[in-house]
Amino acid sequence: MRDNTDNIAISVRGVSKIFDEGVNAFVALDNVSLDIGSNEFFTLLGPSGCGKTTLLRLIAGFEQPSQGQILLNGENLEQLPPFKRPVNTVFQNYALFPHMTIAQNIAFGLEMLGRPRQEINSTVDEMLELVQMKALADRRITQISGGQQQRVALARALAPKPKVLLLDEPLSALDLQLRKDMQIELKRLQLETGITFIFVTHDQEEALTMSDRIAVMQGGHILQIGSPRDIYEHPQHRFVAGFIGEINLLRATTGKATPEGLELRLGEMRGLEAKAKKQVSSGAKLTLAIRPERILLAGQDKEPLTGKLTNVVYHGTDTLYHFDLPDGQAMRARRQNSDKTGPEWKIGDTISWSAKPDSIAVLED
Amino acid sequence: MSNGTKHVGNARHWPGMLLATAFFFAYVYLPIVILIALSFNENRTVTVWTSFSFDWYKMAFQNRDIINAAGNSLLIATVASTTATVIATLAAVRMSVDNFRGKTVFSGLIALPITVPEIVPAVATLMFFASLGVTLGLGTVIIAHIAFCIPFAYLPIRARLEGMDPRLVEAATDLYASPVKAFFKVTLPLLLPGILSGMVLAFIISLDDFVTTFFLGGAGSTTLPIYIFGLVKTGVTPEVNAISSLMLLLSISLVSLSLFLGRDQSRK
Ligand SMILES: Nc1ncnc2c1ncn2[C@@H]1O[C@H](COP(=O)(O)OP(=O)(O)O)[C@@H](O)[C@H]1O
Ligand SMILES: [Mg+2]
Repeated sequence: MRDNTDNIAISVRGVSKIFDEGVNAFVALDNVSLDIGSNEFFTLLGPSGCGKTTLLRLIAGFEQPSQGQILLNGENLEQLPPFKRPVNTVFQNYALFPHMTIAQNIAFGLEMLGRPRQEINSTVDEMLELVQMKALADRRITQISGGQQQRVALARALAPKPKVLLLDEPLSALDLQLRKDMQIELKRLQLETGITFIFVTHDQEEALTMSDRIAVMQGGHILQIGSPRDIYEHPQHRFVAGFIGEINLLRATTGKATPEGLELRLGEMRGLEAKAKKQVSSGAKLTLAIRPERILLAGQDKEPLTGKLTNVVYHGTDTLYHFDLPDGQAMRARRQNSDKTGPEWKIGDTISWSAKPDSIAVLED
Repeated sequence: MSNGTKHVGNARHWPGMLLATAFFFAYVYLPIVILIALSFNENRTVTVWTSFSFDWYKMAFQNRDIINAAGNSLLIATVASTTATVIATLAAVRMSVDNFRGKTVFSGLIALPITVPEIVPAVATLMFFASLGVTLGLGTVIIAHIAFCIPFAYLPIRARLEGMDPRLVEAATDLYASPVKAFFKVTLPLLLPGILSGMVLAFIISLDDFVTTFFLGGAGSTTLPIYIFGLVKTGVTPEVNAISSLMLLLSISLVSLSLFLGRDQSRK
């Protein structure tokens, strides 16, 4: 949560959304709260059906919250219909007007706002330039490709210069290369325009590469909000840890407190330490998460912890080592291929490993 | 259908299918073809062909009664189809944005009159006007025509609406269009082919109507079908063939127009 309330564009406060009533009632959003700063590239990340689109629709005004409030620059939006909110949407399927040309689509918002013709024309030109569609201004929507439609949808939503731009999985219909290009493009547009972007995706890599901050959602809840690095390095939730990137989830018991933090035991094996944020009593069971690339592998007896190699997979830039712990839990470690040959470990060998305390996340379930 | 059953199920392999089809076409279209041919027959006797001429068309166009009847037909069809289309458009749009209990039943009720024997509403309306003491004439005919035109106009509009992405209207309101502006800027233009198609259909149905017009008409409301009926009672002349051929031509043109307007442009 941010301290400087002056810089908050959108504030979602205790918002719930319940669809239908009685036996069919469905809680799509459950007491969601978040603050999004102005000029921020904020991402809602979560699996399909977790309520991302619903939250966007509440902000746009297409749906009303069952509970809670949404504020834009400190002003409650409740009484404001969608056409009076300075918020524009890039729809998942673009929803471009098929009976208009590209230029007419982009001009639509400005015309509805009653801007003078000259201003409309120059803004449309500017937007066409921005998304590199100038040559196609008079084409019909049905005559352009998916990637081009995506750009038009973006230009149409940006033309009225909204305070906040909502983007609902805008890249999901594009193929991989185009998606990568558009990720960079979107980020550039956000920096150039200075508009707050609220970006929805179910693609964790997209979220990590583009966002200033990410909110990870599941089943109508927000589990964690933080910078990409924060979310990746310090997941607080089992779901967050598993959803973003590759990770080892291990069952452990706590030992005694140490100067560094907390001693952890994997079965009978000792030698792992984590930074414990809060006090945990000795002997408590918990889940810890370690990224495969944070595990330091070495030959037998070099490091305090052991494992037995079960598989070695060569990936070009790195190699993935699968091994079993003495208590039977399976683990993976990733090791950069920084020299040509690499270690000569074979399946069945016993290896040793360790991980730094700040590479280990202790999770809530 | 799986590949195995396709061969057996293919109507091409049914014996007599070709013959039945040929018979159907002859049964339906032969009389019409003969009628058109005879409208160009110079001879007065309807059944004997002598030589080609436009005489009967000339006669038809010089007959004041026919011109009056045609005028009535066009007036009734124009007023009825336009009014019915406006009502049908509003009903269809309203039905698509609202979700209320019994919506399916209600939607069905709008289309139901198509399947009701025309004589029933015709008699009912006649009784209604009689009880009010209204004099029958052009006005009563037009009112009754509007009523039976509504479902015909409604169906193509409804079909078009169902194929429309509801996100488009949301996108319009997202871009600062009030609900009224969103309707005129997005819904209406996208619906227009369906609306025109519905209007043309309603126009043809009205133009062609006999039963309702016969029951609810009075002095000065004679339409072409009513007039032709009157002529036929005194003996068919080639003049009747000529008028009928012209009506057929008009209907075919309008149906083609309706199909052309109603076609799905987004499909390639
Ligand atoms: N209008 C609605 N009526 C009933 N249920 C809905 C409605 N809109 C969304 N839902 C339900 O709410 C849940 C969240 O939907 P959504 O916000 O679209 O998820 P996401 O965008 O994260 O995939 C889904 O289970 C969906 O079925
Ligand atoms: Mg969605």
